Amino acid sequence: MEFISDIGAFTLTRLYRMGVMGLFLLKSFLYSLSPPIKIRRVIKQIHFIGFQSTLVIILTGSFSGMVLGFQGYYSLSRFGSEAFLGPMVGLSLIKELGPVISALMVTGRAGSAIAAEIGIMRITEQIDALELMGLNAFRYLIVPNLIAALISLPLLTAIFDVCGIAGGYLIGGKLLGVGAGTYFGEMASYVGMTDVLEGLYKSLSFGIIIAWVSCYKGYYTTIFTGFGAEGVSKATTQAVVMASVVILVWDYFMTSALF
Amino acid sequence: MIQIQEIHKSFGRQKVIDGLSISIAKGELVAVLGSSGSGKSVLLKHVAGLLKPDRGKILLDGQDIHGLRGKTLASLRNRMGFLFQGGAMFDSMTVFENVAFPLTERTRLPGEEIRVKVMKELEAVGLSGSEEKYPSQLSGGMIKRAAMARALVRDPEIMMIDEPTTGLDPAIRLAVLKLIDESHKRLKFTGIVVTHEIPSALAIVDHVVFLKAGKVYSKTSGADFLSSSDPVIREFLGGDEGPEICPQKQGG
Ligand SMILES: Nc1ncnc2c1ncn2[C@@H]1O[C@H](COP(=O)(O)OP(=O)(O)OP(=O)(O)O)[C@@H](O)[C@H]1O
Ligand SMILES: [Mg+2]
Repeated sequence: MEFISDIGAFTLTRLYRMGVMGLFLLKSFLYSLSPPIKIRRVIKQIHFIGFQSTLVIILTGSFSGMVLGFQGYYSLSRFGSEAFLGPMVGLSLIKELGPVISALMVTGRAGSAIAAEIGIMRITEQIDALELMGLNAFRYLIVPNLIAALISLPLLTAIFDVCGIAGGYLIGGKLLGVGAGTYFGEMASYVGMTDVLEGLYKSLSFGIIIAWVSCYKGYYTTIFTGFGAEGVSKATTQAVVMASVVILVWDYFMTSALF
Repeated sequence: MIQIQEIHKSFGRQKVIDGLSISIAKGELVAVLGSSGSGKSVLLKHVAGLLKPDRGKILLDGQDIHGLRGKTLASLRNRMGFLFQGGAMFDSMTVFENVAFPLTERTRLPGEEIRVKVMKELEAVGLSGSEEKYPSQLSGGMIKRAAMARALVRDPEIMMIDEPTTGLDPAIRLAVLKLIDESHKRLKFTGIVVTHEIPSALAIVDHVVFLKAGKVYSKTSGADFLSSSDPVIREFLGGDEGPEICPQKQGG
């Protein structure tokens, strides 16, 4: 009996937290749509989430593209269709790898920091202090992150795609001899606006997921994840793991819906 | 002005507040005493509406603080100053920005006026010259005083002060008590001050409330409290209640 009631209690807690998490997102959206927006904080967060991630994105983008150049070339050459290397690299990057890898990199870099920052503000009572001034913690802490992630993610993804395509050209086009005309020409004729839009929608939704999960985990430190420094470190780890999982699962659903 | 009516609060299985009632008239400053862990900070957080009692009500100006939301709650809190036990300074802002924050965000005062007011508050707590420092660059006592300045900067009508003097050296302790006394006289705020500063703090308050086992054990004047013959109070005054209690023989 004990065992059954434990399962029941566990399920109820999970359901309750999922509800809280859903409401958290809803509240974040409502506050994002209602002024005043704290512009200076938004800019600060764009600097942090977006600008400071560019180097990482350039590196990972270039190398992913270079790997795609090699792998694509060897797979395609088996069917004698190396000419399609450009579209292959372009489509994989724009529709899938660009949005997903950028989002995972930003999760590791910025998502963990956001969760830690908000978690520390929670355990040191700074969030309470904010509320006691009659100010809304969502407006000051959550909304700027949400807006900044929504702006940054598509831009970072675009940078990732461009670097990846260049990397693929470097390997496939230059090193393995596909040639610029074939590489870019075929890419232009096979990659369409719908593919670009698919990547854009994905990166926008990944931006929401990153801000949502990491802010939520930080905000509910002490309440759900435990007290003190240990609570913050748990919140940070959980934010990264959960955001990454949600990104990949959501990516599957979006891909199957947009297929 | 502040009516705490029969509140109860448990954290898990631990009952922290067990049917506690206090009523504080407008303009009165009440000291809350009790051993470490007796629920003093928890009580203040209830009055500010940060924690919700399991049972019971808290009325501020006749309004149930836990029934208020949105704008009405914000405007009530706008009249309240709160000193957290740990200071709760915003660590991404300088001391100046911290103290100015309630004014820049909640009032339409021009920048110059804010600057003058902030510098005045910082001077009153003896922190002139530290306004460009970040909280992490301050000592514990300096953080406490900066937080005090932030709590007082909006001229609050209600003040919740959690251990204003813990961690300060004797001279500054007296200065902070004097600051509380002066601002109480000037602003006529209604307030609660949680303190271990016995006896010096008892001189600046109207009543002393002694908490024991989640209830009000006694409510007396400061002098009566000190001369009480009740064995529980004598034991509390006798020290040995935990590491947070300050030495009793100082100031005067
Ligand atoms: N958020 C919380 N969750 C669980 N227990 C809590 C929480 N806040 C306080 N407590 C518990 O409530 C009790 C009273 O805590 P409180 O901070 O009010 O003590 P205090 O009287 O202020 O002590 P001190 O003089 O040391 O500051 C403590 O036993 C503490 O463990
Ligand atoms: Mg306390």
